[in-house]
Amino acid sequence: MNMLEEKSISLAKQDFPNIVRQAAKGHETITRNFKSLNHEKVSIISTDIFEEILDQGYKFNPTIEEDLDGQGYTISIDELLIHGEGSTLISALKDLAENLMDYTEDYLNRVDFFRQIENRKHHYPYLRRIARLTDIDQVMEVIAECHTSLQQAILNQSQKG
Amino acid sequence: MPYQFTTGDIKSIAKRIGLQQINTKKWNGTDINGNFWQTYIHNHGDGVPILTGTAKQQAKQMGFKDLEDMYDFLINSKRKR
Repeated sequence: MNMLEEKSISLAKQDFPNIVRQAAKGHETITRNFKSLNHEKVSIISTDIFEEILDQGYKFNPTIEEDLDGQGYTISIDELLIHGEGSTLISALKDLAENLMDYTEDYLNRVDFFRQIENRKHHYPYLRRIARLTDIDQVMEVIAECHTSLQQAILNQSQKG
Repeated sequence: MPYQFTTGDIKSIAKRIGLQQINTKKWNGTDINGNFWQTYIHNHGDGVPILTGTAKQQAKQMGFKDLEDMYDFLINSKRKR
């Protein structure tokens, strides 16, 4: 049983305004390129639904490591092979957020390249979450969403003004 | 055994595996086996010790098993990863 509607590109072209209206209501249409070797498929789906899926399924799990000599903190996101560092928790988080924004920009500009790299191809959904954020404070909040110590560091920083 | 690296050590390792400095702290590149590696090196000065946690992350990001493996690569200049 296939509950998903699938259309060829030529049919989808003819019906595109209706497909977009349906997508906005929550219906997904899959278009298949029958002329390509792999018969590639593309989903046309509401951006809101797509982003809800990403927000629920791709949460960040940062790890904090305090230096043995007390010189600072390293915060890493292992699933993205990325880290930030700083003399305080908040400066390390800010550094990580900067690195993540830089990586996101590079990744989305060269997505066809990164999607071919075995240990980086699965980074896309996490970075797509970051791509829609508009400033570093929002990025820091998303990184900290599952980590109470980092949330507290952000709160302390905002209370300092 | 704890391993201590300096900024200069990490830069030297990154260069030996074929990474290039892209911006103030990002280094990346593709090694001779076609693997892409990317790491972040703060330019504190070549003699400045790297934070323990940062060195561990840099080791992972450059494809070393752990700090011991990266240290062995550093001291053995003939080693090809």
